Amino acid sequence: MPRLSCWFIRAALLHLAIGVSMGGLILSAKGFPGGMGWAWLLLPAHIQLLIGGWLLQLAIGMAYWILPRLDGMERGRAAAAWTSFAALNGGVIGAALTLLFRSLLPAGPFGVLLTLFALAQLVALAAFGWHALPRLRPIVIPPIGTPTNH
Amino acid sequence: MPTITRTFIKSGLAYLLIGSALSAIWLLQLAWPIHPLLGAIQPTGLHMIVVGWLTQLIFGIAIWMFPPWSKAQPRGPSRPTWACYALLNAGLLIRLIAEPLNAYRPSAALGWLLAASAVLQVGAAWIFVALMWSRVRGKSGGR
Repeated sequence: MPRLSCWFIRAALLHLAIGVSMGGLILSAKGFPGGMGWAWLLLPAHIQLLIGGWLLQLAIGMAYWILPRLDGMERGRAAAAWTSFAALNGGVIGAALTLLFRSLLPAGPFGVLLTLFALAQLVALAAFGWHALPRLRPIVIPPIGTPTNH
Repeated sequence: MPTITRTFIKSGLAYLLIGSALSAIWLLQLAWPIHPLLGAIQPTGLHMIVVGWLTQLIFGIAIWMFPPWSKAQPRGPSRPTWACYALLNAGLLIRLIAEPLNAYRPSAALGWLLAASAVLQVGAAWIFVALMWSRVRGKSGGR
């Protein structure tokens, strides 16, 4: 497994652990609305962490690992893939925290921050698309008996 | 494909059916109100699909496909892996029953069942994270 996939997937596992824990508190709040009603404040962050931080990030990390490699067995455009990792985690964590604080605080620059973090998530997806595009190609299997350079 | 993976995937397929059926029934309830209980099943249907099917499918495939734990135990220790499966599915089944009933007619007993469901599902996720953490590594990296 390449190093960047390790980073993507381990980050996804952390998002899973935190996001599911938030979900557990929210589910418990359904049973005890009086004592645990505050847990509903976690709902937007719970969704951010599990959709963007867990599912999307795991899919990107796996794709970086298993998509066909370029000639010379390189994955190519590594800077774009690392940009995607940084932007996705910055965007998801930033959005989750902003949504949490927006529920707790009466006022703040929440609109600007949410716009920035949404843009970061878009940059992450665009950067990974830029990285992956050359790798999305059919595998050509040479006929039996054809000499190969592998 | 190892037994634990087949078990995760087959259970996931069952939850896909259950979640899709609940979501369809909820839509029908919107169009033709049949019973108020059916109006409370939307979050349960959503979680049966996202956790019961999608997450469970990911768990099963990851246990199968991720780099091996060790030569002797390529899928990792058996007991925690099966505990992860048991906790997740026990939590989901309790949720399937308790969540709609609690939304329709809340009670303390149902509240405790929901809390138990939450603990079981969170426990399963933490076990999965602990099991997979050391398997996420490069070819040359050790645990």
